Amino acid sequence: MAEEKQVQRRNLGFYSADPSQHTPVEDVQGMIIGAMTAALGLYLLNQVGLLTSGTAGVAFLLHYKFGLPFGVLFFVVNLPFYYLSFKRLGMAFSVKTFAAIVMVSVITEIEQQFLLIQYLHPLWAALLGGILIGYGLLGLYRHRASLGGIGILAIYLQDRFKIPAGLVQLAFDLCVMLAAFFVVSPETVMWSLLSAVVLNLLLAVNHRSDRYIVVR
Amino acid sequence: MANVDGKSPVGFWASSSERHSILEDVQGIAAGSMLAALGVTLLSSANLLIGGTAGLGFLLRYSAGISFGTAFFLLNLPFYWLAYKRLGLVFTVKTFAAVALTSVLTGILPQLIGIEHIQPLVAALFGGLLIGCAMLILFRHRASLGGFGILALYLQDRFGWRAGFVQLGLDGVVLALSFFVASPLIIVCSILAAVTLNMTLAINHRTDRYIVR
Repeated sequence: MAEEKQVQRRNLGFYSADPSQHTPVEDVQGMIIGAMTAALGLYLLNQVGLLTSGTAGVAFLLHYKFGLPFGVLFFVVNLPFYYLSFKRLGMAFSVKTFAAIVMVSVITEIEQQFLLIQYLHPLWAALLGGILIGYGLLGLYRHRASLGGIGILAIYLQDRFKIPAGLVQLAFDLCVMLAAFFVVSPETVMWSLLSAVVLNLLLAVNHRSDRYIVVR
Repeated sequence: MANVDGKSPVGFWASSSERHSILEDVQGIAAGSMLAALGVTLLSSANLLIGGTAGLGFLLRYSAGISFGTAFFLLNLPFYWLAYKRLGLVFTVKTFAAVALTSVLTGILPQLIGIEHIQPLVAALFGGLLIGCAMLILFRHRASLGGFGILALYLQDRFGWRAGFVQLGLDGVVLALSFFVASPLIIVCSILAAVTLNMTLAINHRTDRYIVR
């Protein structure tokens, strides 16, 4: 009993004695760091009118087309996916993902009051944005959360209709980029494409559960 | 032996989970340096300082008007010999590359991104966070941003002084010096940035979790 209590106490601390488990405090800081990093990346992209892949790309499209606030759009666009996420990836994952998306939505909205950017070269917006969102997602994935959306749908479709998840995601991102041609200039689409490639390369190279060994 | 299925260690995707391929190290160092440079740009936009050789670089920038990139690069030079003696050639070369890249990027970033206004508190949080993440990435790829850490390790071996206390003492000196160039609000925010940076590292830098050597 006393031993159990000791373990319980340790699990809530900053430092988990067990390398294969994150403590709640570790998860919270991981999600805050991931959300802040990703939000800064999205903010930089937004400054020069670039897009990115996934649901954030859809939110950007609607944002540039109709002028609605990005944070609100990002939150709304991700809503339909929580049901799938809850069914397929469990309660903890869905709750964490919801928290991460809320943080990203809020931070991207309030950031303009604290950080005003005068000018930004599209190349740097694309590179830094891609890297920041990539590392934000990497941090979130490693703490078993995500920024929602298409990934969850892709996994569902793979299970239900045997369509490879990677292809679904790629097809969706291509659709976003094609649609972007109708909303922004071709040059902007090219920069956006660069940013999406940087983001996805970074995840492809670095997201390896055989290296970052925490189980859940 | 490191490459179980005999694949080249130069590829993007190393077959072994225990070693980074050269390209993996390159992308890690490039991305880490870019994040660090962006963090430094945010901090310097709000005139904030931080610990370590970067803090000394900021001090020189604010007091003598030397560019941060140059100061940071020069200040780290004396430590490479120690790094080479104590932590090996590969670590030293990677650290040199990371420091050089960070210096160059902080030099050219102001031309590519212009920050009109940044709240000091936000600069401290995001700056500390970005540099913390950057150092985490560099540590995980067996590199660093040079400086006091290496000296602290050396002094611990040579004279038995505890490395943690040496580093704390050196950062304390940097901070004490910053009272000459900054207002109390800026110093409070700078401390917040340093705390954010070091908490990010303290919680997340664990070789038992990210197992690559």
